[in-house]
Amino acid sequence: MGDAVKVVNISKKYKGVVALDHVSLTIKKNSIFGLLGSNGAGKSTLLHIIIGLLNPNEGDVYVLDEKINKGFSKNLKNKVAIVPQKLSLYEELTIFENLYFFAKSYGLPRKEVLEKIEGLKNILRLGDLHRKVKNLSGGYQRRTSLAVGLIGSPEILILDEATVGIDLETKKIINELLLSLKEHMTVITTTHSLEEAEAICDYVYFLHKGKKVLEGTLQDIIKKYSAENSGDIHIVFKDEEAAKKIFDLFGETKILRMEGNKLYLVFFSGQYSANVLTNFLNKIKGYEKDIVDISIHKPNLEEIMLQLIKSD
Amino acid sequence: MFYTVLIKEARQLFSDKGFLLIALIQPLIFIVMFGSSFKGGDINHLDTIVIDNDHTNYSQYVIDATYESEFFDPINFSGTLDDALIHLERSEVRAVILIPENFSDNIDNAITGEIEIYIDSSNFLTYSSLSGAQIEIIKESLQRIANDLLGGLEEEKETSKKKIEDIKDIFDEIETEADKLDAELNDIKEEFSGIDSTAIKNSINSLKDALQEEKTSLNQTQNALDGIIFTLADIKAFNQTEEDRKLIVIGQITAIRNGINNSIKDVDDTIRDLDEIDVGTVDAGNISDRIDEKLDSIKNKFESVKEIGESISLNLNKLQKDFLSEPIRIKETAYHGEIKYFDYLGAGVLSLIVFFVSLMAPALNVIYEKEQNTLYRLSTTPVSSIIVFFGKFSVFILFSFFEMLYTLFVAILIYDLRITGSIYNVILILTLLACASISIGLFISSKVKTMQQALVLVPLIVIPSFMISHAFFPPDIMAEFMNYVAYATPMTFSNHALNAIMIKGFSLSEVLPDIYALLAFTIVPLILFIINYKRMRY
Ligand SMILES: Nc1ncnc2c1ncn2[C@@H]1O[C@H](COP(=O)(O)OP(=O)(O)OP(=O)(O)O)[C@@H](O)[C@H]1O
Ligand SMILES: [Mg+2]
Repeated sequence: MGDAVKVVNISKKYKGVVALDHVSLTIKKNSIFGLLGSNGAGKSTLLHIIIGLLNPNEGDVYVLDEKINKGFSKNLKNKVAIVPQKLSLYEELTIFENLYFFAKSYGLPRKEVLEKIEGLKNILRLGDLHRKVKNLSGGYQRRTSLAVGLIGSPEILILDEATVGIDLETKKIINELLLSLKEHMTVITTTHSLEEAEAICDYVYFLHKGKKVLEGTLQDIIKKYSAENSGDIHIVFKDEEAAKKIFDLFGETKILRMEGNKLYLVFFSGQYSANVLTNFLNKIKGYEKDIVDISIHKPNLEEIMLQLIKSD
Repeated sequence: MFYTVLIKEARQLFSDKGFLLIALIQPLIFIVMFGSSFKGGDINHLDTIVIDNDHTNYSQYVIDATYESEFFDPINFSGTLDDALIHLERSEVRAVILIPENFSDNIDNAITGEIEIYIDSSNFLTYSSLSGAQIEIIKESLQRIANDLLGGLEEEKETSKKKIEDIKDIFDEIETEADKLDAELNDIKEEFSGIDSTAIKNSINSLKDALQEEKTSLNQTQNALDGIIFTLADIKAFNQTEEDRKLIVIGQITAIRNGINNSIKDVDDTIRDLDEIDVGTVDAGNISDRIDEKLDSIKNKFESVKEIGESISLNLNKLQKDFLSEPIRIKETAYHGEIKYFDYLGAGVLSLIVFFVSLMAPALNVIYEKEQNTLYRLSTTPVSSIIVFFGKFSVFILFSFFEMLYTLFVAILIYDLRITGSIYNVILILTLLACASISIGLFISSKVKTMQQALVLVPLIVIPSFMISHAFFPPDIMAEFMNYVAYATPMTFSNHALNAIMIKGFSLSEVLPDIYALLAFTIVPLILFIINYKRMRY
């Protein structure tokens, strides 16, 4: 029963800046929730409000059906963990000491702590645990921070750009880990990397300048936008001359664009689109040998968002 | 590029508004603290109890001198010496002056009048100031007492002069008598050739010569007496009782006394000479009887001259004694024993080191954690803020404790710091101060945002604390309001307690208020810190 997080109409202002403007959202349990948005969109602010580190100027926040009022209760602190965007580790201490300390702060017994540390070390490939955090490379620092987030086995794990600077291979491992943990855990993650969101998120929420622009499951969004909007057909010619020849056949039009030896044909859904496509195919008949490649491009999340931002 | 670097540095420096604000008020606070910490610049006007058990003019002179001295500020007090010493022990007054019962009697009897002064030596500065200032009391009151004594001297001189006049008169009478006798002897010589009047005449002539001499010397003595008065006037005019002037007076008195004594001797000789005159027996007209009679009367006159002369000499004797003896002396007692400057500063320096280190370390630690964000992260874990606080607190206590022990032993071993009371109590007080400092440091850290702010704020607290905490400037010379401001720093209480233990040898029960204050300085910021920590937000 209940949702993991429910945010109702919250706003947050800093001096002169509206970081969040009447934002509402619901995060289902055992899902991976992607909070997307460009820099300064208000993602970190929203996460800090959710975890009670920051008070909103207005609106309510419920976490695991508990209303947040001036910070978290001890119960929630046990169940929710954050991996902040800033490093937030004891840099003078070693990886092990950091893990041990935070594990202990969840009141775990020593044996369990050691087991967990060992487990995380293997999964996240932390290497030698007795290196001081300040001497680690950026990627290892992020890995350690992530390990600290996981050490308390939270019900909700909040990741604020947790995988920035981590190499692709490890990122993949982390993603797999998150997917595997989904059974017991709700993950809220922010990222600029839409690719990553597409890879793991069940649901995405797109913030722009503190306002919601878009939300929904990935499939819904893509379906909706690819239906409503357009796709491209990319035709690559052997040279620019060949491309120009075809381009000239159409004269002045908005649906066709030329860039070098490529033509981009925008198509829309519906009857009109069918006409355009047949017309185009008819026109290129006989020029097959000039064409090197044809591909159909459906919009991905990134493009949808770029579009949405542009239209703003 | 240089210009660009310049701009960048300036922008960076000035971007921290809190830092700027503190940097702006810092000089103001320092100057006010310094300025108001020493009102007049000098260490004077120190509260003093004067106990007068003598109640005479002389003791009043001493009290007046105390009132007029800029060093002593006598306060209203009625009670015994023991009552007064209780105030002194608590440093509520800096000195107790006792004028004993027999003070003026002694002076009148040419015995030194002894005043007792007890000075609070727990504060080196007030102590050395007062220790030097007692000379002023002696000088001032001696001036007045000397005036009285000199008044006596002047009177004495007048009577002496009059007595000398009397002697001169008698000498004149003797001269007339001698003249008459001379004339008579001439007559007799004519009438009775049998009488050898020549011998008598010779002795009478030599008597007359002697009288002339004596008169001259008496005139000189009179002049000498006037001379004394002149010297005394000088002494008064120049406001001094310098040794050499005293010697001049004594020399003059001695000269006069010798002159008079010589005259007395001369008179004695003359009397003897007169006794030796053999008038012989001339029956006709009882001449020899008449001559004897005349000689006897001359002799008697000489006897009275001798008497007067002796009385002058006697009084001058007493005068000389008055002058010779030291009329007043002050017996000084350093109430808590002799003290070195370092002993006095010791309490303040120990407090300063403990305060500074114990304040700085936790403040910087927490701000560092804030800047590293670990504190925020920790606050999202279930560990309770109380545990976080006590964890930090305990480590810093331990750290401060060893730092303090180390400082203390260096001070004792190398500088021979005086610790009259128990060293354990010193350690206890310093530990309590460390607790208070840590609490305050933690509290500051929960209010301050950047390291830069902390680095200007901590000295802003520590340095004025040191200045107003009575460790350096005595409370006596601080502006009144500053003495209230002083209660805002735990150092005031630790210094007070440490001074009491280290210098006065007090026990813990005698510094309980300070202990309570230090505990309050520990608990209040501690509670505020925990509240702030719980409310701490990004
Ligand atoms: N402490 C603060 N004081 C003033 N403004 C702030 C503060 N924190 C954030 N902001 C502003 O609020 C807005 C949202 O910031 P936030 O950090 O939430 O963005 P974000 O989406 O996390 O960005 P990024 O992807 O770069 O991490 C920004 O305009 C930022 O400048
Ligand atoms: Mg962010």
